[in-house]
Amino acid sequence: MEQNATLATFYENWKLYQDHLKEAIAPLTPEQLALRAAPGLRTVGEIAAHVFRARVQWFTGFLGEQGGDAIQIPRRDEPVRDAAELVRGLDRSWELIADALARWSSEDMQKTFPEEWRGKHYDLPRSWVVWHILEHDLLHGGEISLLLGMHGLTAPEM
Amino acid sequence: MEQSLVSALTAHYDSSFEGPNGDYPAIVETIAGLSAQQAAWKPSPESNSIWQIVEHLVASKEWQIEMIEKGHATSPVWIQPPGDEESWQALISRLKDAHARLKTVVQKLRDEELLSVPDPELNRTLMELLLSSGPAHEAHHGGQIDYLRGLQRT
Repeated sequence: MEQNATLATFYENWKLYQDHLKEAIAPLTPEQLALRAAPGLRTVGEIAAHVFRARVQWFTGFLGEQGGDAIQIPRRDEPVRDAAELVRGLDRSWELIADALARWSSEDMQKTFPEEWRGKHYDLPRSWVVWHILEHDLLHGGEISLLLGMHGLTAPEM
Repeated sequence: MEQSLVSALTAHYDSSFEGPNGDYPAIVETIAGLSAQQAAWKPSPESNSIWQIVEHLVASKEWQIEMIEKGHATSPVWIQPPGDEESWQALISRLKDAHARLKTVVQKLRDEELLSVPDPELNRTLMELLLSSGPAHEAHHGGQIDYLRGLQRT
């Protein structure tokens, strides 16, 4: 079985989801980006920024990929200024992911990276991290979808 | 010979459904300890409740089983929940049972079958259909369940 084709089959729908997410975020005004379902829960803009912040942190900070420095990531306590900033962050972080996925072989995907979590040691395969971030995108995309739908705005579809 | 795609797919099913994932909850974790009343709550009349999302996930698992076994399946529908505790607990049991049956069916597949196109009209490999209707779909709805829980705590 051709390895890269297998990986492509595995992850190509991720790009479609990324596009849906961008389409939902791009037309939002600063006021709409500041919508939240209740006090104490993240706004639409904060969730979107969290999505690409996690991508960059895991791919550069944990897996050691290069290119994260060029991506502007709002601090957690910093308000998201506009949708274009978020779309740019989603695009740049996607380029980081797409470049890595195109380069990694099946053997590369099995390479492990050490992690300590809640006092336990884990050796996490690269493939686990990739799925973890894909799943993280989907989970928070689901939140954005719910939140936009609650406010009568167009939500990203699965 | 180990079926690497089948193994990876099964791991993704478990990751989205059972966790633990560290940064975010899996489906079983998002619904743990929820009462029927909490599950049936909606933030607005037009929103779906956690109960409806869980029903949808069960239907989706049944859809995947049918797609694997027959090569075609009827799309899942959204329902109005009855709202009582017994029905809610029965739904959780059905969810876990459907997950176990789905995993059993998936684990019998060969990698070659995952790369076949079961329904020419859909024009997608079985792998794509299962990934998007299974673990990816559950992660998307898991975020909604978690957000609906968070909303009830505020």
